[in-house]
Amino acid sequence: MRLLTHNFLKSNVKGTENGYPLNIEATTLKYEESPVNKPFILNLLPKLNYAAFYSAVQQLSPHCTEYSLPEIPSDIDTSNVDVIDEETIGKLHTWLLDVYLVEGFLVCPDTGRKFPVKDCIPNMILHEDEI
Amino acid sequence: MQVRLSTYPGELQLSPPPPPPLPPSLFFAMDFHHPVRTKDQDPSTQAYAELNKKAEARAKSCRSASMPSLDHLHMKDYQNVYEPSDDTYLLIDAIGMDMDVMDKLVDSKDGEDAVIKRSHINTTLEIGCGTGVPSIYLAMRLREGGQLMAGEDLPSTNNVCHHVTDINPEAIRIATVTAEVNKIPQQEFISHQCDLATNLLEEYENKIDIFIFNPPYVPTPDDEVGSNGIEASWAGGINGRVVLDRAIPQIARLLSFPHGVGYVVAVDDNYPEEIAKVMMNRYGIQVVPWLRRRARNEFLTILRLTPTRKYEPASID
Repeated sequence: MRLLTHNFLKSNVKGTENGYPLNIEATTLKYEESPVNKPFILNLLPKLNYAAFYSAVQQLSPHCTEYSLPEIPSDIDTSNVDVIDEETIGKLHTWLLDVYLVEGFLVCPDTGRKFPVKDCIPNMILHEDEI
Repeated sequence: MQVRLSTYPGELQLSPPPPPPLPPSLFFAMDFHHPVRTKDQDPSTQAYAELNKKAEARAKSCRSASMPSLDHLHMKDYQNVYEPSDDTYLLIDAIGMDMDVMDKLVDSKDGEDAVIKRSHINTTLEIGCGTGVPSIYLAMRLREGGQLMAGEDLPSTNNVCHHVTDINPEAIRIATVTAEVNKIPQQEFISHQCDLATNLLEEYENKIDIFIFNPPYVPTPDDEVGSNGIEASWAGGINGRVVLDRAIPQIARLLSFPHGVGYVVAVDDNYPEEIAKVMMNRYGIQVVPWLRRRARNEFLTILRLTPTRKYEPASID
């Protein structure tokens, strides 16, 4: 699971007031570099919840020291993407698309319910008594 | 019944031997005798019957969509995920036909404007993706566009996000690999395991430009519904509608207005005319039988969904 996927996942456990964004407990991560596609990132930014993305990056950074990944700005004006420079786009790309949570958990910030991530696939299925 | 073997005094009576097990051929024969349609499944209005006829004519004259490559999958993969079949083919034919009109490769058969425009497509979603064939086909078509015909180089990307979900983790795994094999850029193909689109409703309300759902539509006892293995790909409960009925409010909420389009597979057992009525009355979504074809023991219909107004929760939600 990449942080792009994380950005739109929400906990729907019964009784959750605010199940977004999910906290990340990482067991295994991997980093796979891919070519940067600027239009794709620019197209994506207005749809991205940047604050959630930033906090996810902060949670993963300590686990990624071996890859010496870049830092990203704490805030970006996603309504005006034209002024964002290439370097920043590269950094966003790295964290959105090149870092994978292979094993671990996504944790509902409200109820603490843990959603397992296995082989990069987050399992968001609820049990019957949670619906 | 008892079998009389002897007429001697103190007759010996034997209970009948157990009936032989049904030969496999009979098993298929029973399947075959499931009525293709019953009288009560006939359209209740002349207008709907006409739409069905048009959909049959369209299915006869449309180009046959070319399948994404599945050469990397083996028999054992299909023990865990639904193998593309007639319903899948009809679904991609329907998507392909609308894309042909969009790309002006063919003229619209009904003289109407293209229902989808390339510039309006930002985000697509397929729930219950299985092998992911429809989404992958859509992604391939969006990339090649009319240009493949003109013999030009493929654009590297179309900048569209394709989301797929399935309740079966094997399906997610297989769909992801299939997308890769068919050269869909991995950044565009976003998958996760969940029930329908339950985790996307808020983030993607009114944002899905093309929605695809090939639900488990086979009528089965209700207790077969709700597994997350291969049975999830067909077991549809009463009238084959249990899963689709749960998805309807989600589809209504996710489909973007005014440009969104949805494609949903149904069989006559599902009472598609009633689906159309429900979606129009509750959510203002117009449902038209778009392609219709008989496949073995069922009449398959691709329903095409277009919202006529912005989503508002129905009182029943």
